[in-house]
Amino acid sequence: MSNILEIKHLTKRFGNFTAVEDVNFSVKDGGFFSILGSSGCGKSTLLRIIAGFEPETEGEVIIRGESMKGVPPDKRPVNIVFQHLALFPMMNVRENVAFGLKRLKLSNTEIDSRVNEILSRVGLEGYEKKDVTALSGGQKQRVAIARSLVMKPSILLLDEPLGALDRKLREHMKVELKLLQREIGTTFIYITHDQSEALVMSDEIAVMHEGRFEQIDTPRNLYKNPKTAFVAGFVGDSNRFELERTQAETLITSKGWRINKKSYAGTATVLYIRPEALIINPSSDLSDVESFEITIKTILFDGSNTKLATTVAGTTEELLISLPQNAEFDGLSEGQTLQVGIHTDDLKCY
Amino acid sequence: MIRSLPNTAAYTLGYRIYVALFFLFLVMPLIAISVLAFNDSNYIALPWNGFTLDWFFSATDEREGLFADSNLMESIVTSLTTALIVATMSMVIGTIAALLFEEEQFKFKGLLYFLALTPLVIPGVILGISILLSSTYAGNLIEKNFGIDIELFRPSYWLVIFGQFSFGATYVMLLVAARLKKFDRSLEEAALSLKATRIQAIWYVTIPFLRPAIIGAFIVAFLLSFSNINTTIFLVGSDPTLPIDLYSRIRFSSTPVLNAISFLIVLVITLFAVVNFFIKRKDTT
Amino acid sequence: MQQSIKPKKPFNVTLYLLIIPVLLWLVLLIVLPHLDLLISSFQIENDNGDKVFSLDNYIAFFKEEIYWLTFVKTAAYAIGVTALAFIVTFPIAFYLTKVISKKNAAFFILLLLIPLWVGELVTVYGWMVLLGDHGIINHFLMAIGLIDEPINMLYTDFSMILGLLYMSMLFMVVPVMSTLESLDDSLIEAASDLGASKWTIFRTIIIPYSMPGIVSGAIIVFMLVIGDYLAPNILGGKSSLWFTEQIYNKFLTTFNWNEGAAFGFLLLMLSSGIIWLVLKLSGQKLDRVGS
Repeated sequence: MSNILEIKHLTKRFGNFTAVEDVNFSVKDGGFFSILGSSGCGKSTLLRIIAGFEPETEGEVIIRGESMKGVPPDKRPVNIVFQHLALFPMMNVRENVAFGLKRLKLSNTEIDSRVNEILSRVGLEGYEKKDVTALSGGQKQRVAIARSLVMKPSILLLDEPLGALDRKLREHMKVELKLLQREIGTTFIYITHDQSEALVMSDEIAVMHEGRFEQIDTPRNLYKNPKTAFVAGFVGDSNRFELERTQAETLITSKGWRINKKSYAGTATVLYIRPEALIINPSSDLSDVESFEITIKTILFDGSNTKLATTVAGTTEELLISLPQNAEFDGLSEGQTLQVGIHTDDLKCY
Repeated sequence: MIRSLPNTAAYTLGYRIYVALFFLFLVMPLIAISVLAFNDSNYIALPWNGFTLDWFFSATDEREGLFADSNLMESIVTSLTTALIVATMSMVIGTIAALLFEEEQFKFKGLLYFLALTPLVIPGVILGISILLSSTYAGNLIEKNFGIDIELFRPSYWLVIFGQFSFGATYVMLLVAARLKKFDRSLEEAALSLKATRIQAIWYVTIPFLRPAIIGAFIVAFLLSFSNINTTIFLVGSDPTLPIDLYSRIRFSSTPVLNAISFLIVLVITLFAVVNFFIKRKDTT
Repeated sequence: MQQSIKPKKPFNVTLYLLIIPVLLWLVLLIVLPHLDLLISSFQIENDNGDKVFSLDNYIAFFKEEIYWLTFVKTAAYAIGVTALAFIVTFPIAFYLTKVISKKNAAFFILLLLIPLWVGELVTVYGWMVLLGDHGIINHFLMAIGLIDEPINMLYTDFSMILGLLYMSMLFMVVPVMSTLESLDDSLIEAASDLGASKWTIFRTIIIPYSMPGIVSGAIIVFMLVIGDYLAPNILGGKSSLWFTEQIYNKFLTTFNWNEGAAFGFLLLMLSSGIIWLVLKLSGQKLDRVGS
């Protein structure tokens, strides 16, 4: 599989402000690539540069081996689904979807057949004559995607398309988009601030912060092995601890919790621990697991997301621990003390 | 096109030139008369003879300057007082109309609203002649039956006021209604639940909210009245407004005092516009 | 303990307080005068000085060639000037809302408002001064040697149209600008992304979207032009055939009020008719246009 998109040393400055700084990455053909970051990190700007609406200050955008320097948006082999969809309000569904095909001067029969095909792909058969302003959020979504996909672009760019939808619909659309991408095979480049979307749908994710890429990796690696403090804090939930003066192989938090960590050089300032990485009542056969005692302050019931709010014995540090909802731990109550263990690799310090 | 679409240099340059030409075309007449107002000449146009303030201040028989011309001064005063009264009347009735149509429901509301909008689409001339016709008819009727001649029903100062008010109220209504649409009705309801009567609620809650629009509408009505000719010309009696006086001078006896008064008008309006501009600037920062 | 509450409709004092002034205004100043206009148009004074019903006023209009020629010319020119006003001002409206920033646009908008508020009389007079034989333009052209004699620009159809166009531009810009402001940039970007050229975007996206504003502007402008008196009278020549002038003459010069009423009514019908037609064709409604 070749690289359909290559970005080299891409930088964008607006006056004194650097929105995108020395970004480098490649995307394989047919993949689902996400750029994850909070608002203002530069991901929208990056997307608009790839689409051609913003010229780059430095660096190159290369699609299918050809440089896109100076190529206007209407001539690039990419299509974009805008954040607020940008459906044309004075046209119906069919006219919206057919708009790009008309510009290619295809025959009417061909346009009709392609429009029908894409509408049934996204589940909107029979909606051709409907006024786009009368559609529901999810339906508008699908029209916007159909309008771009019908163009058979090399790359489809999606700018936080699920933001305006309510939670249940968003969950549903995540899966739908993923399956759609697999089925059609077009390369998707997806930007979002919602890590759950990125994790569920992507083959690869780039975490972006203040104009730079902090880490590019598969969802799993990003989650399990965050390379920087920002990624550790941004992706998934974590307990976070400030670290004090450190000795080799020992971590000491600001509120006095000491814990050993193998092969630790002693230079970190912050520690992240995932709630689900903690093992309750660890068996002593487990290797490389550090054990310690906690006191349960309160049980935060949230279905499968239930957590124990605890204090580490002998300190004032607070620790959230995931509590599986099977019969094993039904008997726990407030005030109880418990032995808890953590694998040395799950102590992420930076 | 918009900033995010690339444009050729020729396109951008051509566009800018067009915009520049347009604005040049726009200011040309105003600049022309403003400059000529200071021309030392007995004719309204070129050649340029030198700079003078005569047409503003001199009081000789040969050159009657703007401020020395008592007729002109009188017509300015007439215009100002007329406009003030018209604007006030329009403001009151227009606001009432806005409240009526936005907040109340009643039979024939649609028809009445349509009628209220008609002054927008009826040429000022027609408004003028129709009021002239009906008021003369009424005046004659009253004279025949009661023997009194009421000045209001003849072309006169007050007939002009009512004539201008007839469309002034419509403009006020539209401007106030636009703001009223954004009013959170629950504020009025809160006042009612605090034992205010409906009228009190409107007076103490709604009207203050509408104040910016009401003031803006007053100004619009004032300007509309001050500059109006199409309707006024049929209703004017022996007290001409400024536009009427100017018009007859342009037609029959033009001297450069016309340039002077035009310049004065341009100056006042420009100052007003600039002040307005800075006030709006302050509001939004 | 449950009690049945009888809903009592309170006497809506407010409604009466609000409706009475409005009714007075509309009936006395709009309805009755226009009824009188209609009635007067069907009356003439017979030899005794009484008013009798007659169609003579209207017959006079249709019989005299010059009357209905003027009528037709006025209508045609009004439509032409309206169209011209649109063509000239649309690029400006677009420039001020979409191309330059809001801050810079504010200055230009200020510039637009000044001639608007100064009033038609002063601006028409300004054009008179510019276009006359001793006017500024002629002086300038002769000074740079382009012409030997002054070009006759004033008192022609050309100067009349110029004056009408000038006034129309100002009233066309505002509604068009307000509609363009609501046009989301991303619609234009989406169209470009889908392969549309600038001209196509203009044709398929911008114009259809701005239709309400364009129709508003066109109606206002048409109405103003057709009922305008000053520009034809001051800038047009002796031969400027403008229908409003005819009405003016009938009322204030020849004092044939009944004929004037008939002409007025005809003008009203023409103007209302065309407005109704335009509204119907473009599917807009009067109250939407009013805002």
